[in-house]
Amino acid sequence: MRGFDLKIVVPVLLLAGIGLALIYSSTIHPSPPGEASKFALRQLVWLGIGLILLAITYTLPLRFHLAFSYIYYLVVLLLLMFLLAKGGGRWIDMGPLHLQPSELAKLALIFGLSRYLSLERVNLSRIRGFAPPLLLGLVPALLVLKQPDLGTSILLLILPLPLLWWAGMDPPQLFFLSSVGLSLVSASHWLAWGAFLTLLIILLLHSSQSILTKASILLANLSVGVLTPLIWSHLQEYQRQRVIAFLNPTRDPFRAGYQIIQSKIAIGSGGVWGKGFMQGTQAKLFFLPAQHTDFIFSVAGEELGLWGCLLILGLYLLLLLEAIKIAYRAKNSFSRLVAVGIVSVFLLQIGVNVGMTLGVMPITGLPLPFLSYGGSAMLVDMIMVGLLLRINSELREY
Amino acid sequence: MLGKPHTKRLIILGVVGGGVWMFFLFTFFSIQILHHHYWLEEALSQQVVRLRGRGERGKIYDRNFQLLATNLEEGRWYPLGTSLCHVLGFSNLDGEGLEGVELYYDQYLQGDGTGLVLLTDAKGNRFSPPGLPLPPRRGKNLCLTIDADYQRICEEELRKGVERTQAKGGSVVIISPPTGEILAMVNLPDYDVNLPQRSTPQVRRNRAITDEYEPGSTFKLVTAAAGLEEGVISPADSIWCENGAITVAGTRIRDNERFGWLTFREIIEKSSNVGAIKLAEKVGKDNFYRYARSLGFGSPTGVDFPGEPGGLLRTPEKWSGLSLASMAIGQEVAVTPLQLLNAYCCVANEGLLMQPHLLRAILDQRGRPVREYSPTPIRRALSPSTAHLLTDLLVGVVEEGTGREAKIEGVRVAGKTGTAQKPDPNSRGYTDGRLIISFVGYLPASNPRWAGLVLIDEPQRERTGGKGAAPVFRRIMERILSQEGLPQRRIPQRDDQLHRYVVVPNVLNIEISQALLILKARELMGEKEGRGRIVSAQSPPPGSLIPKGTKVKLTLSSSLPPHMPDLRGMSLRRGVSLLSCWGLQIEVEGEGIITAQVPQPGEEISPGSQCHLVCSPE
Repeated sequence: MRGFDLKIVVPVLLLAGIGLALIYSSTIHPSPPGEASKFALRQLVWLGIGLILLAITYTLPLRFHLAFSYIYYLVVLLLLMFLLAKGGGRWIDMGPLHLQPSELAKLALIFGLSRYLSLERVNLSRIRGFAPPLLLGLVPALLVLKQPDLGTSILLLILPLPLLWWAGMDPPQLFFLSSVGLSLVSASHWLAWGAFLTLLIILLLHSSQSILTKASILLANLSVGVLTPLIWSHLQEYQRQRVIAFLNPTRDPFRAGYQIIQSKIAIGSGGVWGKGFMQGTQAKLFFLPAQHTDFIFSVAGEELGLWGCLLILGLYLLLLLEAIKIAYRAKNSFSRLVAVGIVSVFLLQIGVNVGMTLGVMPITGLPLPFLSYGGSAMLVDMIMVGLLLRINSELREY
Repeated sequence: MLGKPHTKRLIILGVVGGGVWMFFLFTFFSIQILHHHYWLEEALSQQVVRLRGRGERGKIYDRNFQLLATNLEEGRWYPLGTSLCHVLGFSNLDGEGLEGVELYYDQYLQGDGTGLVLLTDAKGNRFSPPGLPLPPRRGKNLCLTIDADYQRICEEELRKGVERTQAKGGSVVIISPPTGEILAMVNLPDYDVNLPQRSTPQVRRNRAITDEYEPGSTFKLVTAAAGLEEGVISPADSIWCENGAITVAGTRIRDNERFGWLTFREIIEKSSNVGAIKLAEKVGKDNFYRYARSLGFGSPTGVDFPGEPGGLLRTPEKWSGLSLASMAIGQEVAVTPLQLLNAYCCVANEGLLMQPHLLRAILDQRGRPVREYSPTPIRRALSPSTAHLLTDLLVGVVEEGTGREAKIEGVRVAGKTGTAQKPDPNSRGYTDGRLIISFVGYLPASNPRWAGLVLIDEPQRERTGGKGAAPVFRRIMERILSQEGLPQRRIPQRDDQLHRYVVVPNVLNIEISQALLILKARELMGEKEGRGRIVSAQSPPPGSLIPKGTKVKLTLSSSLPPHMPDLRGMSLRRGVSLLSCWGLQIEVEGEGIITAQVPQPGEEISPGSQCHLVCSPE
């Protein structure tokens, strides 16, 4: 098995195993005792299917995906639109299967972007060059936002940026490009927005862009800063609460802030050595919300303590370093961009999810790769690992 | 495509990623190590419920450590059932005291508010923890002053008495006069304290403490005490009792018999209303009121029991023309049974009013006392000599007078009967003939160890204190005596001493006629020296103990004394009354006994000059 990189496979299997154990532990309530966890069993089935998909992906050459990239993208767009047409929601029920198209959208977007950016004729310094990737992200992002799923939506919106960067776009240019988005986030507080705007102006003064471009960038940022309150009023109430809760978790401890505080209680009470496997009371007593999905890492913090958290993050680090190495050595730009996209998705999800459980990021509902309970995510994550392994094997073909 | 640009990007990625990584590490360090204890406390505080469980409530014992209240699987259990129901009260299923001692000492019985430890989940479900290392802490145990044996005796005898008199109910209280300890407290009807829900709130009232009634003749104690202490009468003085009826402010008040001339002693023994009223008139409104207050009427005794009222004793300015006469015979006042008994305890205790109480000690789980109650004097209400004289009169009541049914072979009993009409709730009078009869007394008279009050509510037969209540008192005390034996006397032959010796009163600077009266009340003789109306010197000096019948030399002077008397050691009341005739402007600091004075003894004083008295409680 050429290119079947154990430095990828071993961390993934270990993480999936830890995930299974934590799901098992966190879904057993002490009263009545001994009720078996159906979640862990289901996740085991998903892991099995995921491994099969991993193997299939491993056997498929990247050329195949290159050919089908836009098809994937369009199919996923259709699925998302279908969801929207039937009135929102995140899942398509197919018998016993609940497919989550927003998870597939990550993968499809990676393929779409990689396909586009690997074209030789694309000139990223011109708007005609860099606008399509942004649009590729924006369309599914809007569709997913409507579900509503703020976390995945933001992920899809951001994902083009690292790929653009890796495809050779100038960092200052990238900054101007993303400045509108940054403006949007920082506009939540006038001080943050002021600091951001100052930085923007300094960079604009030193850049070689035309006066017209500079002016339009500045104008766009100013208008976004003003428009933010309007957009704010269009967010869902719970989404607003989440952002507020992130900004000030103690403000309303019984709503969104409640989750952050419960997560910090879980992690903090775990201490260095943890309360021990199956001893995590926060999850078992239902204080921790979504304990087996979004907040699985809090369970790790409570039951396994600091060493468990560091172990998990260490495994992720091994995996990501190896993935970056693969991306670095990939033989063609499509493969390389796919690998970069996968690394970006993992990095963003890990960072946002762990940051959320630590209370340093807003609650956005992104699952933790390989650990969180969830079928679609597990399958997509395994496909991504399969892709990494395939890219690794292809770079040794020559 | 490969090469430099990618390396540069890798460096940027490494720096940014490493920064985020370090930030996460720092956050982990902060949450899981620096603030670990804070978050652990937060976790415990929301996951652990410390119930103030019924299984953890402290136990209650009597003075001899007989168990009165404990905990069983099903809840609180009172082994004695109805006995002591009113004193103990009860607690609810959550282990919170609702009535009685259970309520009053709830905070101790509940300990530090801990008890059963349970886990709770976010939905509020509670369940027992799988081996959570938090042992429940139990409440403190109480040891009461109650003697369960006395309690049983009182209960049985009161029950018999209530049945015999076909009464509605009754109360008995036994107190140890020197300490104020309540040894027994019974009310009838009673209820099973294990099943409080089957009783009415009315039945659950501890009426010995919480209910006020018009005491009737037992209140003549105040009249007698004021008369003796103020020196307006002595036991041998006679009063014309108007052939059994007197009209005061248009109201005719009668005696049971058509008494003629009666000595003070006889007035008390035969419980003459007319005699008491005429004596009260001699004492005067203000003095009468002061002694009533001083003996504890009109304010709560401060007993350690919830819901004690103060009784009704109006200030003299609110009295009508009839009030003094009414109060002299125990009407127009309302007292609680405990208040009345405590006033008699004060006499038994040589004039020192004690704080009645139910708690002897609070014990921890190993039985070590956490807090012990020590006898607490409230104030000196009467001088010892007055108290001894009163005791003597009260012994006469039992030996010669209305209380003969309380006489016990081999021991001198002091006591007083009371037969009071219950005010008609429909009119202002006493027209419907319902009675409260009572007997209050103490023994042995020479060294009182037990004071008791028997009160019977609405008897149908034997409708006087002497016939209905006194026998109950006698039987209770006989049974207690047969159980305890006669107590050792602290001072042997004290009775004889009491009869032979007397404390010389202070008669300085008062009119000779008044001085002679005071000396007479102490069974002393005055011997005049010199001319004039005012006593300027006396020998022996005030406070010395001399045999009865001894002559006291009184030096007279014709004018008002120009010198300040020595008031130190006197009660404030007495000091102020001594100074009152000179029109001094008196300022008082503190309460109780005069300890210092300005001007100094012997200094010249003039009408209207300033006088400063410093007092301190004994």
